Amino acid sequence: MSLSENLDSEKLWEVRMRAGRPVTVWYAGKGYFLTRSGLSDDAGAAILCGAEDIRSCVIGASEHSVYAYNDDINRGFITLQGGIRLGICGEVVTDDGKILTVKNYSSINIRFPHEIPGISKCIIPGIVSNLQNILILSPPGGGKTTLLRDLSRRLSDEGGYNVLIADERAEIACCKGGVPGMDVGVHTDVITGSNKTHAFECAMRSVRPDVIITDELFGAADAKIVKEAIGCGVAVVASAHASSPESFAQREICGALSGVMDRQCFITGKSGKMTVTEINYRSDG
Amino acid sequence: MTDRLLITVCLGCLGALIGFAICSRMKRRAEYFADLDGFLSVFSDSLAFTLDTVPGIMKNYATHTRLLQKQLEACADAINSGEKADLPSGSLSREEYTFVSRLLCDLGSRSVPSERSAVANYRQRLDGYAVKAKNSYERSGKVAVKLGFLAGMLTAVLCW
Repeated sequence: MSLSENLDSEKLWEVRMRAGRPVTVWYAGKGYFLTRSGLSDDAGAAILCGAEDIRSCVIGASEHSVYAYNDDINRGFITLQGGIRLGICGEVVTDDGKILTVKNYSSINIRFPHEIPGISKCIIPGIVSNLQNILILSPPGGGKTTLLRDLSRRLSDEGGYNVLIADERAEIACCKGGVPGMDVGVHTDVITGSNKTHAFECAMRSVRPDVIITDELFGAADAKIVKEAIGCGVAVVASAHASSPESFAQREICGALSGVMDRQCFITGKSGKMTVTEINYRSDG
Repeated sequence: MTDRLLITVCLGCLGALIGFAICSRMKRRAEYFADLDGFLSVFSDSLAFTLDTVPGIMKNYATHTRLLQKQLEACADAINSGEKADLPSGSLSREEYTFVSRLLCDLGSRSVPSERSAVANYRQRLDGYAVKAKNSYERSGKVAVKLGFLAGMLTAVLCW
C-alpha cells in the first residue's frame, strides 16, 4: 500500500514505526493505525512493524549508503527528497564519549514538512518594513519551523533582504544535494548541518546577510553567537522550544538572551490553527 | 571431392569458431572479475575520501565489461526504486553469481569502518575467483580453439 497514492499528502504529517508495534499515522490532525485497507482506530487490525522493516527503511533512506549518512544517523535523522525527515532511534555506539554509529534501530518517525505561504503575515505582519530581532517560542510541533520558513520567503522575496538560514538540522530549507526542498526565497542562502556558532561566523565573515534565520536555540553558546550577530548589525530571527512563556523564563537561554531580542512571540498550533502571544516588546529596539 | 574438401574446411572452421567462443567466454570471465575488483577499489577510495553513495558510484564507474555494466545498472536502479535487484548472470557459474549478487546487494549497509572491512573481505574472496578464471583462460583458452578445429576436422573425416 502506498501512503502517498492513497492519502492526501497535505493532510499527512507523520508516520511512526516502532519495532514490534503497530504503525501509526498522524493524518488530518488525528492519530490513526495503519492497516492493510487504510487508516483505522482499531489497533488490532494495524500492520505490525518488525525491526528488519525499520532497518530496511533506514538503509533505503540512506540510498543504501549508510556510511555516507552515518553523521546524520548519529545526529538522529536523515533528510529525504522534498524535506521529508526520518527521525531515528536505536542503540548508540560510543567510544570514549564519541558517537561512532547507531545500531539496532528501534523506531523511526517519518515527518512530512508543510508550507503555509503567508502564515507569518498574520503573526508578524510588519517585519518586512521594520526588520527586527525576533525569538519565536513554541512547544514541539507548534509550527515554529513553518513560521520561520515563511518568514524567510517573505523577507527574501518581498523585502529583498539577503537572508541566511543557519539550518543545523536541515529542517527549515530542507536542503537535499544543495537544493532547498522548500520555497525559502530567491535571496536566501542556506548553511546546512553546521552548528550555529560555525554557521553564524561563516555567514558574517563571507556571506554578508541582512538577516540570519535559525531554529532551536539551545544553551549559552547559541545565545552568545546570536548576540555577536546582532552586535555586528545582522538581524536574527530564531526559534526555541518552550511549553509556555513561564517555562521559557526558567531556561538558561532566556537569561542569556535577556534584552537582546526585540520581540518574543509564543505560538501554539493545533489542528491547523496557530495562535500567538506577544511576550514582550522592546520599544527602544 | 571438392565438395568433401569444402565441407571439411567448413566443419574445421565451425569447430574453431566454437572453440573461439569458449575461449572468449573464458576471457570475458577473467576480465569481468578484474573489472569487479576495479569497481571495489573505486568504492574503497570513495569510503576513504568522498563518501559517494552506492548508486552514484555504480552509475559513474567506467566499466570494461558489459556484464558488470548491466549488473551495476540493475543494482543502482533497484536501490533507487526500493525493489529487489535482479542481476544478469552472464557467463558466471551459480556459485560465482550468488557471491556477486550478495556482494553488490550488501554494499552500503554499514558504517565506514565496517564497510571497509567487509569490502576487504569480499575482495579477498573475489581474488580467488579471479585467479581461477585467469588461469582457466590462460591454460585452456587457446587449447579450446585448437580442439574445436580438430573436432570439426574429425567430424568431417567421420562423415566421409
